[in-house]
Amino acid sequence: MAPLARRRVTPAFRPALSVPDRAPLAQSGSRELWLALHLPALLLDSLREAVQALPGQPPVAVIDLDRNGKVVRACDAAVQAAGVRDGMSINGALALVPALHTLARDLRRERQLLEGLARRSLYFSPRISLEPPDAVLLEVRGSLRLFGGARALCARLQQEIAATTGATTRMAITPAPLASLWFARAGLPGARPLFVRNRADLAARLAPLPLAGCARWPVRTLETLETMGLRTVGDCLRLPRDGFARRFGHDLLALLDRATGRRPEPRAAFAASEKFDTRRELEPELDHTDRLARALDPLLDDLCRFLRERDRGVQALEVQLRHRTAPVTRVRLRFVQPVGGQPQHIAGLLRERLDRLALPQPVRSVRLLSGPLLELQADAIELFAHDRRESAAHLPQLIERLRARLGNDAVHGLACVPEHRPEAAWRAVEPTLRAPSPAGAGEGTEAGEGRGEGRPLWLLDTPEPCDVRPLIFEEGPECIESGWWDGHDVARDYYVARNGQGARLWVFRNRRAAAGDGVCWFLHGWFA
Amino acid sequence: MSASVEELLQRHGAQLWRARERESDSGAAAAAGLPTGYAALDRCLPGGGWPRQGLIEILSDQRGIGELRLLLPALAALCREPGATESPPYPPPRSGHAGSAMLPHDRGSGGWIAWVSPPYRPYAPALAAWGIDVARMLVVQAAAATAWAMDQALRAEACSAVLGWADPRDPQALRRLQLAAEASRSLAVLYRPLQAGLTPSPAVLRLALLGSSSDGLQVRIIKSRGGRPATVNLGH
Repeated sequence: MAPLARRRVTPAFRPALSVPDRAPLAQSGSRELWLALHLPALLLDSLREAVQALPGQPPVAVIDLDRNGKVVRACDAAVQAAGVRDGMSINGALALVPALHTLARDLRRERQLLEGLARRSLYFSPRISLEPPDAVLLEVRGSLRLFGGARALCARLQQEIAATTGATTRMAITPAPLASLWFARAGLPGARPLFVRNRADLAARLAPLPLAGCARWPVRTLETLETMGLRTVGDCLRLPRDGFARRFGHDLLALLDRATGRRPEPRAAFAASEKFDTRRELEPELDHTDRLARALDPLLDDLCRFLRERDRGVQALEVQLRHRTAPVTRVRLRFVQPVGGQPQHIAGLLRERLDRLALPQPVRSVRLLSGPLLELQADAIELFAHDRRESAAHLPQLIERLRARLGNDAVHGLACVPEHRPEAAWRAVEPTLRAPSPAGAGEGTEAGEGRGEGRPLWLLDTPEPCDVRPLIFEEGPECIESGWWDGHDVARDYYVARNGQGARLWVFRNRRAAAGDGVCWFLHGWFA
Repeated sequence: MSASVEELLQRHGAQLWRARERESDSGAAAAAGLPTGYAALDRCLPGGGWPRQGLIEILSDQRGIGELRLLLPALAALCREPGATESPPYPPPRSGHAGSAMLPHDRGSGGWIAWVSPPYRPYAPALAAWGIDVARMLVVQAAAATAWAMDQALRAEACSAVLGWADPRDPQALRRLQLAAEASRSLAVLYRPLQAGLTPSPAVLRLALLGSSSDGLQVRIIKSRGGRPATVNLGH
């Protein structure tokens, strides 16, 4: 306690929270403007569909389980007017409003509503950040001019949200994300959303906000602050920094600094995780794959439109065929590159797969599911359709078509591996379109240098026992002894031999074979 | 009165269609073959090399007599062609049609070579030693669907060369392959057993390979559109 007491004697020299440091942490270089979109009635809004489905529009309350049993978490205005408050037990609420209809809180729907809002917000700004459970942040500096100013932007956004989800929203725009959130949560009187353009004004504008309504600090902390007579943000900002940090922790001080814009607040960007998922009931049931392929065409058209609108592609698709009793038949397609709006291409691949499909039962319904949406590569547009020199661009499609019929493993590329054992000096790789090396021999040059000479063009996967008596040995031996470290130890003497028909063979004698073992000569390749 | 062939040639030289010049009628560029890398063989082939359009059949029962070596100089040349050195996924900026005139060949399909159902593993280090870009090989194990896979590869216009090992008994499958090869700018090569030489084929060039311990590889041209049957000894 001694240092604490010593510092207390010089209160006049301690800077207050709102006074800028000599070296402000957040430089004014990042000229961001954050719009906070707060949903004050998230619980009710997320259950809107369920409420609307109720007959006769009864008074509604959303309940949740608390330590004390079921308590009211949200209710509509009529119920509120009757005296029902947040946190009241369900029995108390029913005593006040006997006709009360209670709905269980649905966290999943709340999340869905929030993500739906974030997706809509993407029309207004590319930088979106979620603030669960009940707010979305949009960086709107770049969008202000496009939408004709902050007020017009907010009006458009409000209109859009009201029209699509019916949710009530409160907005605020400030240079600091946290300040925007606090303003939006506080819900200042007046229809117009709050707009603070300059970071320097933030502290003064934040000052009148009540801590209890906007800052979601721990209840104990808020209680302590209140016993000290600190009720507004401004009360806290007037306190000395070091004293505040010591009493309430550095985290809380950091929050205040973020709200006033003294400290930057990096936000995680929201990425829309959209997927295509559509079903189609088939009437009558189809048992012919050809007709099935035709029935899928409209779904593929929808998918391609969906992708074009978003300028995205998919790399994986799944078609589910539902039968009367048999388990669902799944057909999975994978593409070498993300494909966008090319229904014929996907339909062609799908037909290839469906042709070889044995249906256990007629199909009652089909469902088309997409994998995650991916960025399209920018080579899909052909300016001169007749100029087909870049025909390697067709390669991915060829590989897909071959794989659709022959299976994934049936198509591969080749690569050299720097390795002494002949069978390990190559490997099958995924064929990739990449910029070829100027030498024209690719990786082969460095790996195959010196080793490619005197090697056969055909290699046998497993060396075959071979009778060397009629062969004429031309070159050799070349001793290859390697691989003791990975269990595939070899010790071989390789020879180039010629048979009676003029063919050149690559044979080896296994030096590890026991003398009495008989077979010790093997054929490993042909100099084709 | 019957005019001799010589007289006819003299009188109507320009109008007469001669089988030997068939390819050059359709334009000098199209007729030029892809040099095989073997001067003796080039001399016997119309166009001085592998026909750039149409199916090539190579008939052989023996392995290891040089059936691949026969093709490799041409394949290595395809890998080095201007079209092949462009990076395929990012087409170079084109400045109208003036740019295309700078590229002498119109068949650089990225230098990719498709191997459809090869009997053994094409051995990457050996291919690299022959100057072939191993990174642009596409190995396809198609078993019974070899003709189909070749057909797809030819129609896709995605490869500089398509090599296949199969013996399609069905004349229609062969015909289909030949049509695809004719329409495609890829070099199309089908390896078949020697026995297949007894039945007719729509291929533009048919070669039978015979190996012997004394003379090395002997290439017998069975059929050559616009050329003549011949036998070439390529040695060891």
